[in-house]
Amino acid sequence: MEFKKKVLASAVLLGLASQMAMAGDIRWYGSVYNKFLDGNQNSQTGLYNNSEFGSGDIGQGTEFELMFEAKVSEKVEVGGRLKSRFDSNYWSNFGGFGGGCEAPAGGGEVTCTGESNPKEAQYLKLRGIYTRITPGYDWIDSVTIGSNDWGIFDPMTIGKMRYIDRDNGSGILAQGALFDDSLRYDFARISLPSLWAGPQFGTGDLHAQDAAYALQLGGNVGDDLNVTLIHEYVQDQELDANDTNATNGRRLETRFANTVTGLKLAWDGLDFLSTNVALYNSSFDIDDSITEARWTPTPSKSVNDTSLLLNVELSDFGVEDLTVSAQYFDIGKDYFSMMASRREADVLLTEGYDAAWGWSRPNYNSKSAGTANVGYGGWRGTQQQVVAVNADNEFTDFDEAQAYSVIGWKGLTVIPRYTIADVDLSLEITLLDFNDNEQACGSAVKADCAMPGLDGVSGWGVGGDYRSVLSPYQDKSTNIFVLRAEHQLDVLGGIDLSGFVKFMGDEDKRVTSNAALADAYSNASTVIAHHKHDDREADYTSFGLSVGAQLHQDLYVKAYYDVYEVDLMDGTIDNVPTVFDGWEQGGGWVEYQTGQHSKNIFGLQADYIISGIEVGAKVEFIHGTYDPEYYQGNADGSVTEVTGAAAIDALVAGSGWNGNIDAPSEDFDYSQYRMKVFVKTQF
Amino acid sequence: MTTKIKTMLKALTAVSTFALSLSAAAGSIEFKDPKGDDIGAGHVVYPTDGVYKPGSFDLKKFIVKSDSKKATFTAELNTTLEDTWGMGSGFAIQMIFVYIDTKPGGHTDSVPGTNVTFASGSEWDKVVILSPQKQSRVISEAQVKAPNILSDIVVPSRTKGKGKKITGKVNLADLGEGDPTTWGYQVVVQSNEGFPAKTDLLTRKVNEYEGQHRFGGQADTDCDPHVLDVLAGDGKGKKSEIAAQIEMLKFECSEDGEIVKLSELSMLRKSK
Repeated sequence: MEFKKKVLASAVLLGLASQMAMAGDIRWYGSVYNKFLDGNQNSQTGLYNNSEFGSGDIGQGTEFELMFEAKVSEKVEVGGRLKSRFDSNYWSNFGGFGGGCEAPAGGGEVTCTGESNPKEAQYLKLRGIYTRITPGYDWIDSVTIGSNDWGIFDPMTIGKMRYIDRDNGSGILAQGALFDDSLRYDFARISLPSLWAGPQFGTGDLHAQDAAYALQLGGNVGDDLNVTLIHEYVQDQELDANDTNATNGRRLETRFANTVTGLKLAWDGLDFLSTNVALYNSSFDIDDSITEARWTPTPSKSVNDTSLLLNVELSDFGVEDLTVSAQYFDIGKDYFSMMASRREADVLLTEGYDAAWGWSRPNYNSKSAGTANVGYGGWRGTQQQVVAVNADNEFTDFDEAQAYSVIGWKGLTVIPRYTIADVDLSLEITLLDFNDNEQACGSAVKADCAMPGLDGVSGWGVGGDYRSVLSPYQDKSTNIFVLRAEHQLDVLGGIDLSGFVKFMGDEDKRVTSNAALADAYSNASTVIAHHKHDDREADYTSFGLSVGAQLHQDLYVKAYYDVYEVDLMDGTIDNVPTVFDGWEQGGGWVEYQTGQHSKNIFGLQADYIISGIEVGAKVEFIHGTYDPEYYQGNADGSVTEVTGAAAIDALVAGSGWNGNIDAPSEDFDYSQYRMKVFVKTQF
Repeated sequence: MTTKIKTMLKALTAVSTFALSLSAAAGSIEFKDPKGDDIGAGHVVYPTDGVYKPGSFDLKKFIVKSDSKKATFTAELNTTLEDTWGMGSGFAIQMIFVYIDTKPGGHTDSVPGTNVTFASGSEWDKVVILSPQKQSRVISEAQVKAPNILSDIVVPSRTKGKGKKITGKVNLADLGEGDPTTWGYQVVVQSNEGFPAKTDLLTRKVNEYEGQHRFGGQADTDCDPHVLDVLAGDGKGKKSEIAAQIEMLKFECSEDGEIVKLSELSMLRKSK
């Protein structure tokens, strides 16, 4: 019987038999997850938010997951899970009976309900199935065939890419070590997700052989330096339309290819200093014949670019309990990795923008339309940054993190952290510049831009829905300053106090010459006389306090109150988006938002844990106001605020926003109540 | 914006001044551990997921600070901590067991899931668990998986990670009588596992072959120590302590993977 050599070297193993205790055993485990939603939107489109189908904020549903792992023999293991579909599987469906499909009179999309709608019926789906072989050879540790979340690689190349589950992606993974275990390797072939991994959100008609290939090599050089090299190649192929003779087989042609190479160095040579640097190069080649589409997660033409991340951390250097983290980042404006993490990763040190202003898609200008997506309150907390064009925030709850694409970002973040007398302090200073600060993306006209204006899903903030960093006309800078403090009062078993103050300055001159106005604002509803009339300036101020305590051995309760304010000047009344379609207005996609915004969030959170079961509850009461302001442009480029109801009404009536702002001179009030309770039982 | 920055700096100064006024003197002891000994019994290999960065389980320093009411335990590791799983504690993948010998006698069995025992004369009386999990989760797991030692398990109400350090503070009264600087200590570095095996207290398995979230390099059964780094030798961080650790963690398994001899840990003390 042969064992991995290192085991024999490390311990006295009395001939551990091949028919080990685990062989033949199946380990069954799983969970039952119940979610209870309540809110005042009273939407039942699903048990989480979704920009396409709307966001449900009421109802109850159950998800069942049964997982297993089995050691078939000493060298073979299998695992997987059966998981019930969780979407619109409300308890009120009564198990999914009934329903049917209906075609609307006169044509249109067929709608199905009940047993005929997969999102409502609680059928079980197969997930996470893998076979793992550990043959026992020196040069290979394991081969895993099947599902994987690919977390072994890197969020800038191949990252975790949840949709809807973490391990929907399947492939073959070989892992091992060479040269006396000094060089570790991971090699993978991953089938490309045909749903989204390509131009126009897909991999074309022929998808079964499309794949990403990756090789990762890593090891230590000396005692202090760790080196990792990653190379990835993605290929999407289609049948060659020019090969009309099928009798000798069919030729293929490449629809797109994406090559990404990364080199990472981590050095820990000094007790007080940790450094790591990561350099990436990407190349994206696309078939010229593919029609450009606005809704696409890929560039529209072939591009290549680089990205650099440099992290330095000083610990206890000169001052005990003082830690200083710093990151320099430079993400190329054309850096593109098809398989980069779309969420579940955070590639930058900065906490970024406030998720409370995340793409909540409220109808700022329409009192009757209400809200869609996650709602006026936005997501809770800060954002996590990814380098995927299509940062994916679908199927999330309001208390989860929001992902945001940072392609094109460059800048510096410094965060000193200091603990004194049990008060934990941190101060973030981030200075942001953008590699895509260009006019018409550096081309003659914006039609030549490579990156798509993927609105909404990855967009951000008041006035930022359509203007992600991928805006064709941009001249932007952003500063972020955050002070956070935490302390535990030593009374009543410990009372946790925390607070924060945050300022963000965000300016964008957008179009910087009059000559470019015609191209920038090519839609008919926008007539801007001077390039300064579209300048945007937003000052964000937010602060919050929280108090938490372990009221009982099993129960932790926290209350929090946050205030988010924005002073936004989003150009004159003549300014409507540089990328704009008429349908976006009035739907919460693109709205007039210049003015003063204030949002207050009061929340209560409870966590109850006893062995085997966890109950989490969060209730938020949100109220806010929007006080619109209107500006008119002057011939010399200056702007003048217009006041008075009659003057404002006349101004709006004569602008491209006419008909899309209810009662232009009035304030808008918002209130939202939302609750999420989950009960998770592990068995 | 300048005004806002000034406001923020003023606030920082005010909070720092307030905090300074609260600071108190403390007695302390410190143990060091050599770099590169996060190999358990000699050949543990990290899981292959990207979150398990080199040095993540490599103990460099262990510090005990105490005043008349509280004891603070700090484990310093050989890499910067990250809260990759959003635990809210500033770290995610590590878990530290601090075994304390406060008086003669005590337990020889370890917390379930680590598969080690304590040598005669090194019995432990209390174990402080520094976990990124909520306190109530750790305690609820212990109630089921370690009922026989439950009264001697202490979990800080707040455990935090910052820089390379994991810190937890507990009431001195929960540890027993005596001077913490004279007690014996053993520190076991493990990994936080949210989906542990039924017998393991939130610990991650060490198997024969490493997996995405499993350590490798030892055996597939529970006859081997599921620990990644411990204090050894004199606790001064000398290279020779690597060999001392491997020697201390020696174990024996039977042909069918049953336990013949578990690894035996010893306590370390700081001589006055």
